[in-house]
Amino acid sequence: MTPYLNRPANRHVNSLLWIFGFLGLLLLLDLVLPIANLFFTSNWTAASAALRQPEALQALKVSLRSSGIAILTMTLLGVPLGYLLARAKLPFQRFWIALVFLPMVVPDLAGGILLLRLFGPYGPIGHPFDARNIALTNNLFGIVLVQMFVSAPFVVASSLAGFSSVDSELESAAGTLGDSAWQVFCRVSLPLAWPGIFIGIILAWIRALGEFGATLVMAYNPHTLPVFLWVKFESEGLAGAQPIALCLVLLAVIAAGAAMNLNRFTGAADVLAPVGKATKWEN
Amino acid sequence: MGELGVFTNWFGLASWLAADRDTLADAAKHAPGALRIRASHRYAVAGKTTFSLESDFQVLPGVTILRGHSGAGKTTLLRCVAGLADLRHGYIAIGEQVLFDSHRQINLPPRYRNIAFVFQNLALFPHLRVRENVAYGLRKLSAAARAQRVGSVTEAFRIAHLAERLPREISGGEQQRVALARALVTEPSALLLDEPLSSLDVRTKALIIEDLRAWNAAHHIPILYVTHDAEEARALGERVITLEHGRIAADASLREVPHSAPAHCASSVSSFQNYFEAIVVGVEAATGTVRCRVHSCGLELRVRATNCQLGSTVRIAVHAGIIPQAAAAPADSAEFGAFARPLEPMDAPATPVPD
Repeated sequence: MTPYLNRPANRHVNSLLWIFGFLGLLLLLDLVLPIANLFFTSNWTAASAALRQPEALQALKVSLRSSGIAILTMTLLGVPLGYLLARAKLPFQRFWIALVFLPMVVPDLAGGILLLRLFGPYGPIGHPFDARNIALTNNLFGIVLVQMFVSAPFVVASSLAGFSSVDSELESAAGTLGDSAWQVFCRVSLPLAWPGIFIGIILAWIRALGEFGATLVMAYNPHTLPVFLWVKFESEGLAGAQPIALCLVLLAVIAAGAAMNLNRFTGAADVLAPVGKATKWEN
Repeated sequence: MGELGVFTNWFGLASWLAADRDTLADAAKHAPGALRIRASHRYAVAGKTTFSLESDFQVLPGVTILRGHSGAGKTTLLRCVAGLADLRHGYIAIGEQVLFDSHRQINLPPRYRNIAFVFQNLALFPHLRVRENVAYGLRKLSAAARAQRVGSVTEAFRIAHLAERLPREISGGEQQRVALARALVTEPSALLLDEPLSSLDVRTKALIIEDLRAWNAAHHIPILYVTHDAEEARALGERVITLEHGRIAADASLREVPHSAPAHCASSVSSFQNYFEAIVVGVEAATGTVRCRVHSCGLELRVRATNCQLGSTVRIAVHAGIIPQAAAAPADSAEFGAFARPLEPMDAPATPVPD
């Protein structure tokens, strides 16, 4: 006769979902509200005018150029490294993998200090260059170095995961069909791992674009967008910084959205569904 | 056949280490196009347990079954032949072409071996359409030649209508056919199958094997088929090699069984078939059939056959797919749509009828 007997069995599950939903919403306030607020309260005409100032355009150009160079270099060097870590039976494999991920856990500013100690005019690598009047800091090269330091792990990690998920029997099959190791890589391994790698590259690009702490230490000049944002905030306060922040957030949102939709568009995401295993069909 | 059987046994039982290559070369001359495998390898599996692979046999053109329990070393041996695993000592050749020879330090990489391999999980490329999967190994051909080769092989394996589908969009049996077509389109000198059909039901399997045999009737390459299933092995192969703990335990030639039967009758190893000992109780020359009484159950079947004497003992092969039908049919029912191909090719279908 207790009221509990008449309750549907899943009532407990529902209360669980309600509470979790509420907790999630609280987090979303912190995650989404700032971005939404930025978009809804910005004065778009004033923002676009502020962005058309030569200094801002210059910073945008520096950011796009440096992150472009960084992402190309990271892809050319990081994808092979990811393949190596996924496929080659290296001694101390886990150690090498951990090493690649190390920069991810180094705080930004500390990373800048590390880089400066190495590549700065008095560092072991920077000094011989400095003696020949080649600077590795406070120029595009320095910015690229910093951006690669903080975002290359994304490329390597996604490549490692992507290549690991490719069934090695597929590579063997390509070999028995007459392909060399290079051809197997280009015709089987890379196309199958690519969707995941592509996401990694986009994430790395966004990370490189937004990199601030290490850049501040290593290459204050020329200003990248985040550094310029800081400069503006220091001199003009919130109102001056807002257009730059808007621009950075827009770039990141567009890149992330493009990455997700390109994947869906090509149908590459579900290419990795297993084929021919443990399926019993009537012919 | 008898001579080769003796030869193989002699090698298998005597020391394979003592075998000199002149004799091996002789063997190659005896059977042009045969796949010759002599392998010795020891693997550390886990800690102290080692797994050693020692085998010596020849795969003649036609279907040979390599049978053994899981872990007997079947797949390892197959991978060694294809060049996907390394062999320490041994000799692998197809006809005159040496693929691996530890003495002469010859070890061709898989891509130069011209051996087709159908993997247990089929390993179809999930990002390529059926047509592209099949054409994968034809990279060096011109587009026209490639299309022509792909067209004829997809025709032979009845998958031409699936050309534009992705592997995940077709059924399991169709995937098997695509895997076979992809492997055979390169015109390999041998075909290795690593239990590729184990997930299929008998009837689907039988139809696929039927098409494979039809293809091989024109190409005459050695086909080595690995399975752990004794039934499958008996039904499928002309020759069965049994591998136990990496050694050849039995090397019986199924092909000799029909020959040893007193008549060249409709006994066949062409597909998944069941064998019945029977006695010929009537010859109908007009229709080219004989009536046989099966020993075990007294059932009388009318079977298409040639050269059968009245009263002689024969062996009848019945397609596995027919048996459920026959069991369900009324006693005086008419003909079944059955195929039973004898050893010597005979195109007309046999028609077993319960009487």
